[in-house]
Amino acid sequence: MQTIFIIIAVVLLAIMVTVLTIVSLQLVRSRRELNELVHALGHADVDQMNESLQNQARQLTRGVHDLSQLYLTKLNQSLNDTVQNQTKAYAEMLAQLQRNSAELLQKNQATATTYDQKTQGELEQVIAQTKQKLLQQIDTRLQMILVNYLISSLGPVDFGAQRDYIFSTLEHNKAQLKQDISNVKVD
Amino acid sequence: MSKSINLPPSVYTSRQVLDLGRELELLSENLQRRQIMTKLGVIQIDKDADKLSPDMLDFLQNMSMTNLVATDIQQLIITVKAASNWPLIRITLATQLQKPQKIELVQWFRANLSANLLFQFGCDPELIGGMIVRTPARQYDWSFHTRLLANAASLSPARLNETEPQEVVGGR
Repeated sequence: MQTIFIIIAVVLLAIMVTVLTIVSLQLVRSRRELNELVHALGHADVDQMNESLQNQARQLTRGVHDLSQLYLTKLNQSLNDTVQNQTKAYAEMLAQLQRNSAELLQKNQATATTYDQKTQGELEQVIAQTKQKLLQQIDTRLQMILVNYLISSLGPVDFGAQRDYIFSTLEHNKAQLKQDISNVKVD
Repeated sequence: MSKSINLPPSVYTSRQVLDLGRELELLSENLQRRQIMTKLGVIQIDKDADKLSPDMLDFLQNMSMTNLVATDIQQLIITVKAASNWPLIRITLATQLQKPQKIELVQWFRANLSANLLFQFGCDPELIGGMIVRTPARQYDWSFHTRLLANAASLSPARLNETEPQEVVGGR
């Protein structure tokens, strides 16, 4: 009985070892296939992704380049426009300034001419007045000399000698004298 | 009642008029004293006893007053004092005038302009001749000095080529 049990146990053990071996082999194969698959799959994606990325990078680079070109073109055009506009504005401003300066200069010249004429006129007038004044002073001095000479040579005229003159002068101015005295208010 | 007076031509300055007023006051006192003593209403003026000045004698003679009443003389004093405010005429001549010459001028003014005038005479040899008369209103320069200055332009060679001489208006 015991032998039977031993034989049965050995058979069962052999069966179990066989099954385990088969299962192990299957597992190894499956693993290898999986690795191969994974390996194959991995290489293919990376390459594809690389290619795609490279494509995208190229497109992006081209786009950036195009955009830069466009931007530079636009910027250049804008700068040109701005410079042109500013240059035109400056040219107009300069022309206006030149016109204003010319007008001002012309006006100043006219004013200066008028002032010169006026000053010259005034100067001539002052010279004439001074001349006249000096002549009058000379006249007055000559007259004073003459009168003083007459005073010293003739002396005061006696009342009797000029009596007729005095009373005729009074008679001649009687009306005016009378008018003066009649206007006086006596307290 | 105010009585008008006629000053004699010998009395022509305000000083003389004020002196007359004062002399009349003294005369009034003398007359009142004599009136009391004699008890007469009208008193004869005694020019020796009253020691009257020549101006007062001229004045009383000019006023035809030889007999005076005390009340009349008071009124006369007031009138004479008021005469010191009469308009003053200042006359300046080249020579000092004698009294008769001054009287002659005073007579002319009082006869032709107004009897109520007082005078002040001055002397300025530089006038040469003629006179300057100053009324309260204005001054008249009729001196030879001014006439000569006004007409001397015709004697001055400096003015031969210049404008016509202008007439001098007003006094010195």
